[in-house]
Amino acid sequence: MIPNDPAYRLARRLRRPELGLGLGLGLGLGAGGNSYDASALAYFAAMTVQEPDSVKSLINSFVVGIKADGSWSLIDRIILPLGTEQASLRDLKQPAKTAVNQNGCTFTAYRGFTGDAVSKYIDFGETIATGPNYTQNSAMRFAYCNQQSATVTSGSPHIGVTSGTTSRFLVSGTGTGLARLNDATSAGWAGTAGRTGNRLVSRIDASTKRNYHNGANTNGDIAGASVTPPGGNAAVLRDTSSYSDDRLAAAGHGGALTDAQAISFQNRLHTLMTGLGANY
Amino acid sequence: MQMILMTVAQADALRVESEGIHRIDPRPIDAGPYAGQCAAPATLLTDARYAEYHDALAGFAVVDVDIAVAWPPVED
Repeated sequence: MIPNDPAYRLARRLRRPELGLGLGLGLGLGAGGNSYDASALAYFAAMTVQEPDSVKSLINSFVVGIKADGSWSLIDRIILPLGTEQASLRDLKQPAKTAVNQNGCTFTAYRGFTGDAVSKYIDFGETIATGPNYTQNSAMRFAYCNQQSATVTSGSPHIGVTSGTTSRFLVSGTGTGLARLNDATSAGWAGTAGRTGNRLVSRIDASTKRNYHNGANTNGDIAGASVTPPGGNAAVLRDTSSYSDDRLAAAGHGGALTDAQAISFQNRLHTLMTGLGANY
Repeated sequence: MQMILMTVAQADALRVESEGIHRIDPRPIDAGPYAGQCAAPATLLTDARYAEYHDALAGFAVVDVDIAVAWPPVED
């Protein structure tokens, strides 16, 4: 079979479906000769130790997918659980930036970071309002938890800020939890009990937010008047004076996602986590 | 929990001096016998990722901090 043979080209496209969609979408070649989205390539280039092609393909599919959904441009920061701590703290959306492991969170390759419920956390290194997409009336945060500790039974801060109380997920092991997104109105994820899973909250305007768990809108539209975003750094496994000892695989924030975008984003993220072995 | 105890000024210095992806952010102690001081987890003393700070951390006392006493739950 030769490269100009239509059967060869079809077979190659079937093995690498992104090739069929990629023309004009900023594809580039990785060191191994594989074609990746330009944003994925920039992320890979920021890794000190390169991930295997199988992992890069999973990440590339995630990036291409959320770009197709229109979500990529709304994201500010995303961290993913990869093979090294350096890569896992490196930011997918803004590869020039890195999160910081404060006080020695336990790192497990392809699983994520575990806190100690006392002082360990992950710090995004900038305030949540640095954005550029996260604003008072258009905001989104998410956290993907794949291991729930036994010691903290309620109010485990999966995400929060280093100073402030108005942008956080306090997740309960026995109830629905409490979430705020630029407001002082706490609302949980209806019908949920454990802390594992993928939680996302989207503030769609000055008075409305939506809570999602594992790809489903759990509460419909939640009323909650917005306030100015808190000034502390965006954090994972910490909210001001409370800390979590759960294990989080992925987290991030950005501007509001529509209902369809939020559900698709979570489903695509879960597909990526499953491929990495980091799923709940 | 075993923790490294230090003054607020020492904690501030550690926050400034630690850089890179592994940093130290000692937590201010709210109440109990060590109130007004700061603490970092004693696990840092043997954590290879923090090896460059081991000499500096070795100069501090390691004490047993009662978490429930040092940081009582805060309602907001």
